[in-house]
Amino acid sequence: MKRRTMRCLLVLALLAGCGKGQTGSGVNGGGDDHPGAGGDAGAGAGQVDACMVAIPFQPSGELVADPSKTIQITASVKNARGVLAYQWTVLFRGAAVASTRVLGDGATIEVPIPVAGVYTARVQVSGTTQPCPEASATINVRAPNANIRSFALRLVPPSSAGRPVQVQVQNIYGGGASDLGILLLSAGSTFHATVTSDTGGVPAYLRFTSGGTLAAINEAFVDATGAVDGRLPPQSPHTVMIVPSSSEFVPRRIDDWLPGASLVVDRGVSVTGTVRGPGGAGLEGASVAISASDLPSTVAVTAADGGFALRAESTAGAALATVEVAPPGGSGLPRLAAAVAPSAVLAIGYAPGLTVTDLAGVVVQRRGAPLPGARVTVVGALAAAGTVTGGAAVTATGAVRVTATADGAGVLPRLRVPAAALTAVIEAAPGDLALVALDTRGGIPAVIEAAAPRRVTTAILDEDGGALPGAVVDLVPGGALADAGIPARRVTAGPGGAIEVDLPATGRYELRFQDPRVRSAPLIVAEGAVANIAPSYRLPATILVSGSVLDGLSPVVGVAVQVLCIESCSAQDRARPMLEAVSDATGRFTLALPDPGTRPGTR
Amino acid sequence: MRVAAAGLLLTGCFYIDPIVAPPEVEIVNTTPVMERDGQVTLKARFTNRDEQVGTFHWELFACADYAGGVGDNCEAVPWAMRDVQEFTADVPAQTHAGGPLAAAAWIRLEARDGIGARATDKRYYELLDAPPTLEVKPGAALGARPVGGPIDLFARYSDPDSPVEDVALTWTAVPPTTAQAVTWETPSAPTSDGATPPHATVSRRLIPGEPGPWQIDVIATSHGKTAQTSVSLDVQPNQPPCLVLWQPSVPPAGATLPISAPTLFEILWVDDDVDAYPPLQGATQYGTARFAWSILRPDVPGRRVLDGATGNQLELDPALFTPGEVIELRVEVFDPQHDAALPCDDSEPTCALPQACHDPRQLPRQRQTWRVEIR
Repeated sequence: MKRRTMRCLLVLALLAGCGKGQTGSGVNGGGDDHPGAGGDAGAGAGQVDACMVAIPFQPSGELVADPSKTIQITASVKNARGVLAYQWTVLFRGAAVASTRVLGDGATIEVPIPVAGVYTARVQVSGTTQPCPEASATINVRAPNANIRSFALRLVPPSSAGRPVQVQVQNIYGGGASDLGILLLSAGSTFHATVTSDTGGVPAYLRFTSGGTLAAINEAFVDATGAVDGRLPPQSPHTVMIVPSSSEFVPRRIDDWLPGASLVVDRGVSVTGTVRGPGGAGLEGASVAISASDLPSTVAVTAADGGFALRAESTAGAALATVEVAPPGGSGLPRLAAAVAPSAVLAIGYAPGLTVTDLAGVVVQRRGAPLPGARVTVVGALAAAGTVTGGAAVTATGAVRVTATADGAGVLPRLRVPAAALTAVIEAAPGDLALVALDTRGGIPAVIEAAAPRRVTTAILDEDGGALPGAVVDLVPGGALADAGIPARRVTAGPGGAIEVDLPATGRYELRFQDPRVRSAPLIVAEGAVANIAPSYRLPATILVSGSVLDGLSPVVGVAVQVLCIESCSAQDRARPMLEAVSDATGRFTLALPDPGTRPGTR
Repeated sequence: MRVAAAGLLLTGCFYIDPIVAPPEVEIVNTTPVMERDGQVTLKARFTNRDEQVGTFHWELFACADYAGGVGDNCEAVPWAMRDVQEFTADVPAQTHAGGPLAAAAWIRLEARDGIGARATDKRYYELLDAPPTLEVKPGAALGARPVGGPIDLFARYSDPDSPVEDVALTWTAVPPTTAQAVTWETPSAPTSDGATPPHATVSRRLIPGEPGPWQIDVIATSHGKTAQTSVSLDVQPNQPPCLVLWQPSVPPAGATLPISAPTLFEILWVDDDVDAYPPLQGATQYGTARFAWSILRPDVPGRRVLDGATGNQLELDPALFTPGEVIELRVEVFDPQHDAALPCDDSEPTCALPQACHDPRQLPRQRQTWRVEIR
């Protein structure tokens, strides 16, 4: 018994010894096994660097789609220890793409790139001693022999962003979607300036144009102190147009302006003259304005004797100045315009043979039934409506635009118009337009017969002929309709992409198609006759171009991203956005651009 | 010596060879109906006269046939087995993966008492048709779910012992007020996700016509068996569209915007829950705001609405007006739920409806006016 007891005691001592060894501080304690975590374990070393994951890929240059090629994507992890495991997701057009592990641990994968477009790779690293953020990368794969087309992207931020409007040029590759990555919304440069004259501050409107032909336009309104603070995009110098609120000072344009330079306005030069009517007498109440190099003068209204005085920017160096005269309301005279050599004195006269007739009492009707309340705008162009003399006499063209509304019996009130070959644009009711030739040289008609509008049907289709319900077309009037100030009409396609609209049979329209649902790219059909509107229109193929707007590190919400054409387009089209998007809560935007395509036979 | 004798007597007096009664065990089924792919709970009723603790071993086998109370063609490998007194197990739908439907479950129970005496029981239970399975979830929403906006519902269903094509779904939406008409879109075609047993998923789009609590009931029916689930959704009132971003700049009070060339006036961003501009993507229900442009001229009474100008932009040509003239160009924004005239005086350059914008950070504004000077 006693011997057994001793054996037991020895075993217990051994066990106690082992247990003490396992709990020793040298094994489980602070920094020995996990030096990276030593700080965390309270060894007093300070903060631990956060885990960082980057995703470089090879090859790193331009990637071209090829069924036989692959790219290698690697998760590059810093500041993380442990037995790392990698969970990869690679997406293309929203669907998962199969990948192959290159190394056993999965840090590098191989992905085929048979089709052009945007591949998105995401990796989640686990098994680390501290959590690692999910990392992602977008990889653009070009189509073989992709065409390249440049577009300007105008970024218009909300005022809350405190950033100026700015323009960036982007090259877009055809044949597949692409991601532009980060569009940095520059803070630009701040400026403080004061609009001054010889008497002090001057209230004015300022228009800054930066970047030359790729215009980023920023504006400011200056109060009576003349002081203004703002931000301008980094492209400099800038062009500033100053339009003083007071007619005492003339508008001025300053080219190559740098922030900090002065904004001084003056009274310009005086331009005086007389406007005479067809009979030679002074014409009271006409408005006269001059513009040179797109810079307007002040506006003068003629006195009883037809005399006027206005002020304009010194036109020294300008080849021509455009003189415009708007006749007094109700006179029936056309608006005059002429390009003349700059002169301090102008003699403006309506052509002596120009006569005016009155359409009062004319009945506006359709198929014998009067059109009560019809709005009639008479328009027309006169090749030689007058002369402007500022040295040499120059023939002034005339533009007619007068409007009256028929009464309840369809009878026009007083409506004086020149005796000329004109056109009556009749708005019988909202959306009901008619064009009627109106030649008043031989007298006035008793009736103006407004033809019924023509029901026009067409369809908006995609490049493959599929219907695009929800696509829109803006019918932009041309010719007489534009002269009458008829606004563009927007029509939305219904089921089947069908468009049905009533248009004046002899009207002319430019058709601007776009697809708000980003299925197809915009299409502009040049101005043409209503009769020539086709049964359908196929919008061009589109590629989706995405990006993110950041102001450094943070996404910027609500930035309008406008696409401006800069290649193979008219000056008018350059100024008008082709399409636009707005950055969302994550700063992301998506545009459906016309596909530049690939060189023939290689798509 | 006496002590030794007493010990012998004690051991002799108290030594009695025990009579060990064999234990008995009976399977007690507490599951009223056994359905394929369901669950069964069985208890072991153990009778042990010596009140010794018993151990129990259960085995459940799937049988392909059942007739006259007896299963046949049963699997050799048990589907489930456990060593507990109360046995709960999943009921198989098939005898084995890819095999025929299980027609019966064969239960074997073996009990032993503390000294190893053994008792057994076995039973056959007929397996009945399993009901379909059904899970319904709403799709993710961009914030609140507004009136007029699409609500996508996804139903994932299956039938453990029948083809998934045999399952029919019935959708019922219960609006807050019973008078409200319910607008459903046609369900999508089912898609399979490759699970075992095969599952199918369909989506269906609901367009709620009024705010408040909605309940969507979905019933899956297959071979007379049903499964039902309900989803509750809170639909918010549709928010009015709000003008957020435009160009050119609006002049401050008392000032004018001078133009001397054709100028494009644009609304670049309208914030709205359903009819935003640019339009939201992802559903045909997402429309776009409607704009109304109008001009007030100093010598013409009344503001003239520009017929047909319903898009987000308008080009103003100064050549249509008299130099020096100051006109007011106005734009107002509407959506199908907020289509009435704005409740502000015509003289007010801006106007805001009392409701907040979809994005609460935006200031409500449904009217914007530029004072434009023709130069």
